[in-house]
Amino acid sequence: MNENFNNAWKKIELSETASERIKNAIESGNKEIPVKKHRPKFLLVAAMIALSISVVAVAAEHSKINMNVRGMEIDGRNGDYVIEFTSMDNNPVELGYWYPEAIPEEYEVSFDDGTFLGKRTVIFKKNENDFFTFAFFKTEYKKSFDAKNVKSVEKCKVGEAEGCIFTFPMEPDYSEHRVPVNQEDLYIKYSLPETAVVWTDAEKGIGFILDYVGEEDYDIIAIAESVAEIEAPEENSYYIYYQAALRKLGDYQPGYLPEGYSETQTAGMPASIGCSGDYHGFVYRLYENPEFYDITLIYEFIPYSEDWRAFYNSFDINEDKTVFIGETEARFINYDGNRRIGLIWEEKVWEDRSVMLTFTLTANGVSEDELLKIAENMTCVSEADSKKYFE
Amino acid sequence: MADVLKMFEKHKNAVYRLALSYTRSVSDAEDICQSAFMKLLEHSEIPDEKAKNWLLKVTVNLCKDFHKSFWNKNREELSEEIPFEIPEQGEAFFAMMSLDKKERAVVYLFYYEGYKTEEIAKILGISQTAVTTRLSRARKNIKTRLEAKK
Repeated sequence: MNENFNNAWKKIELSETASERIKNAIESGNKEIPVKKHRPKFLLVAAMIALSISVVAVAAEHSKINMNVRGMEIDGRNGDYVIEFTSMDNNPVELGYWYPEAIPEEYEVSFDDGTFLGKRTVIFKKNENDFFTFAFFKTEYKKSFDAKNVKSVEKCKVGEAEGCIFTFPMEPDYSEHRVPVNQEDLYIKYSLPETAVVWTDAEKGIGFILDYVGEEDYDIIAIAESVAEIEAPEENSYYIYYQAALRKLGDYQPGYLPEGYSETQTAGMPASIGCSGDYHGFVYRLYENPEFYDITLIYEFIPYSEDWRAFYNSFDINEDKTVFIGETEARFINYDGNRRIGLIWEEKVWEDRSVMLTFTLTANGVSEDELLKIAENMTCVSEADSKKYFE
Repeated sequence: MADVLKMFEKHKNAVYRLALSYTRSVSDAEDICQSAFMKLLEHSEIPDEKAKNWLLKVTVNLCKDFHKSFWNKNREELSEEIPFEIPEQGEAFFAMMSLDKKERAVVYLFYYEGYKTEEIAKILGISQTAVTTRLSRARKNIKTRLEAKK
């Protein structure tokens, strides 16, 4: 076993692409080269996040800015600027959860990406053209942000902390921002006025961005000053993830279920699909009958999709054959000591992007014919938002 | 700068494999690998001979942080798989990867990297007893899983 194990590990090497990317990052000395250029975490909401995080502003076109405030430095010219957080030795073990308590009540949390590699972004939305985005992060993880076409920047105070307040776009009807969001570079055009405050809590090693897009005349500094640490709303996050997954991957439900089965559990995580990459996302639905037999549906976007067929190879498969769901080729398996059967198939969802959703439907109390019937009657109740986003 | 590049060429696969043993995801392991070397860039005072252990320790911490997120806690079983030309290698690898993530890291560092239990304890920030317990449990679990395959 040891020999096989060691030989197996020898085959596992960092890919040349990743290797080159990391070497470039090291050579450039850029501490925040996007580490996940090929796979943003959430793309559906990326446009909103992009707006929120593209907060670096410039004093005037063709001017050079080099500004230092406690915990960060802004540098650049010609509307293309970088805000870099300076090193702090006291980065927190836990990021915690921070909340801007003075955000007006009519704004509701529409997105919360959960803490990921020391960052978290929460969006409070009134409507598509009026929302706040609040991001907080360990400065050791999020060293810098880029932005283009910003209008002005001024130093400000957020309570005792030093910060900067930015406005943009530089031109009234057009704005293009390039921003790294969850390690992905995004481009966004927008014309609504936008104001953002960026500050750090140097003692805690946490950076904050509060960004407002909309036409109300809020005192954004006062809202920033209301930021306080509270208990993380995990249950809400869970629901938000699931809803985001439905929007991202589409809402597929079985149009037929055998008698006695009903949906008893759901879960999901949104995928990001598009730009230069992708990120795994899934929707999970469990249907059970009173005898606790179950039908499980998972549909997911799997990066490196050519490998998905290997997923079930690690199972104890007793039967494996090709079947057809309408005209779609599927794999039928009988596994787990003949206790479960399953169907796996792919559907192309975004015609112009060759993006495939993989469906896995398994059960332990129905026949092959019934499982096929469930698959044949799978209905898309709501199309993926991201489809139109990328068209 | 040259030293970090040198260290990258020398230790990139060790760091990547350890991250993979935690995350079971190729792309997440790549990201963590990059983060680890970015941190080395900020710590040029680390001497070359200590860089590997330092990198592995940083990698473990990055992986722990990575696993704290809801997303990663809930998708571990859905990560990418790696094709092997020799079935026995694949069986051994996936039997190891099917272990609990705490056991996976110990097994990787002990069997492949050849670290002693005392060194693993330092890298992972756990006691030596915990390392030996995890190793023992992992051996038993891998054996059971490989035998079940036959």
